[in-house]
Amino acid sequence: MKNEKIREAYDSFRLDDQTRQAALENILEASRQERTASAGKRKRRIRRLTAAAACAVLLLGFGTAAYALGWFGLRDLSVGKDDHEVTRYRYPDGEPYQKMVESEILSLGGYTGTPEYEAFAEWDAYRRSYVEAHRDELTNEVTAPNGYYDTYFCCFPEMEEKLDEILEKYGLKPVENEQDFEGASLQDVCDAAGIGSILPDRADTVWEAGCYAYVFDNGSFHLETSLYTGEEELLDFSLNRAVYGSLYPYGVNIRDAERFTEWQFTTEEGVPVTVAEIREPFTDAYGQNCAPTALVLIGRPESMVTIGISPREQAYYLIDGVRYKDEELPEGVIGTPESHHWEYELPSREEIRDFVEDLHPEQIP
Amino acid sequence: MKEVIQVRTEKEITAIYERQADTVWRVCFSFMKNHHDAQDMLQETFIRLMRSDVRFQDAGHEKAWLIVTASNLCKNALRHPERIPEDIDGLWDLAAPERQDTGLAEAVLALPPLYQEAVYLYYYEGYGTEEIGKMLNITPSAVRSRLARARTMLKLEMEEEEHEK
Repeated sequence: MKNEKIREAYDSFRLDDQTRQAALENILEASRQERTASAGKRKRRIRRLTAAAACAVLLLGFGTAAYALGWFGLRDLSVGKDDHEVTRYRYPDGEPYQKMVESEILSLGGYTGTPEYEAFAEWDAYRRSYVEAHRDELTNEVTAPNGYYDTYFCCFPEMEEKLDEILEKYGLKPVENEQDFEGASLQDVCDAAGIGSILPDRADTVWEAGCYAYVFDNGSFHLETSLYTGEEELLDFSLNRAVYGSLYPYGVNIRDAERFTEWQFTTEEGVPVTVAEIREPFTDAYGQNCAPTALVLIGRPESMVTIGISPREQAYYLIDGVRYKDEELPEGVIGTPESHHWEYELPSREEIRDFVEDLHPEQIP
Repeated sequence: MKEVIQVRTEKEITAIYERQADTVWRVCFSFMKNHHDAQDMLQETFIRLMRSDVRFQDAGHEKAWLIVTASNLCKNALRHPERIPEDIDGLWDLAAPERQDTGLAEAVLALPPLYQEAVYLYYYEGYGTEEIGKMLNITPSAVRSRLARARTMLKLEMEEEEHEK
């Protein structure tokens, strides 16, 4: 039997135009319905810092002396824990199931004791409890709020009032006029944020994939992209800059504190850097399967910069329901988590250090 | 990390659909063996894509992700008794109205699900056994074994059909 014959057999399973169009319309309609529902629910939008974000609160003794030196750690950013119901997918059949997980939120706007941190902690706690208490009132018909209230997911007028009260209490401004980018260059994002280039020095051998980014008019921004070296893919990274004097609306959802390790170094330009890293695959609070990750924390004179680094995943992307050996599998779940592997590892400490140096954090105000 | 589930715009979803709908359909149809369920699975696959924050490295990665997701969804759906059966004789009117010689296609459809994926990925999509192994989470030798058995089944099926003629 010729291979071509088998190919022809599959060719006969043709998607006719009518079905093609009908299915697409159904998919897009489902998309619209979910977007409407999502806008109505307006739960927290905690943005990704990479394919991951994670946490750990095993902390070294960061105290006043550490701040004076410019170092701070994950513990100094934590604003509390919350339980989340997440949807997971059984491996290998893709069957969804619900699971409760506890997760911790990090402030991206400032460390403990700063107005930015305190305001975010207060707003986040309020918003969570308010939404939980009014969950039944959240319907698809809830209208998206206007202006910066939308950025902070104020679903009800009371939330708008509370937000303004917190802003006034801490003397902060809201971030506004979000500008979104898809497929942009790093330089485009830097230009929009009004900062210098953070393109690595090795730009002749390293180039970027298109960026996903959003930039606020005060220069706060978040970008996600990938860097490549020659033919070999290097890593995914994200960079978040929260300008002081404003309430940064997003936090980072972290989960398994026990698996992070922190270490510090000072760049050649004298910038103190903390790196919190987890070198084993893990799952975050929303059930995302996450690669080994490093969170780089940098305090700058005008902003707080957080960089997420993870290797590009291969096998992980191919299986929706992949899970890992350290995760407890619910009853009835089948699969051999050990059989999944990661083809790439988190860069070494030396490589992370070189990467951070290459981004020239001293150029970010 | 974010609670907003959808991370793709309609434009992105449509673009990916235009590129990969045929592939996903063939996977779904070969598993489900009927038009109605295949359409359901096609839609469900893209809805999963819509909710996923996976960032594709290239078109190959995009296709592989969709194939595996569609396969998993179909295998799961096949376990559900409420699946709508369809008269196999009417199948070809919907799937390929112009096709007359349906012997091998029917034989392909008759393959057990265990072999469907490997046969499709190898013979139609042109993946190597190592790549298929990674996608199906089995060893390359297991892939080769499945291919060999499937090929034997197809050959026997076609020989029987010839004898009946």
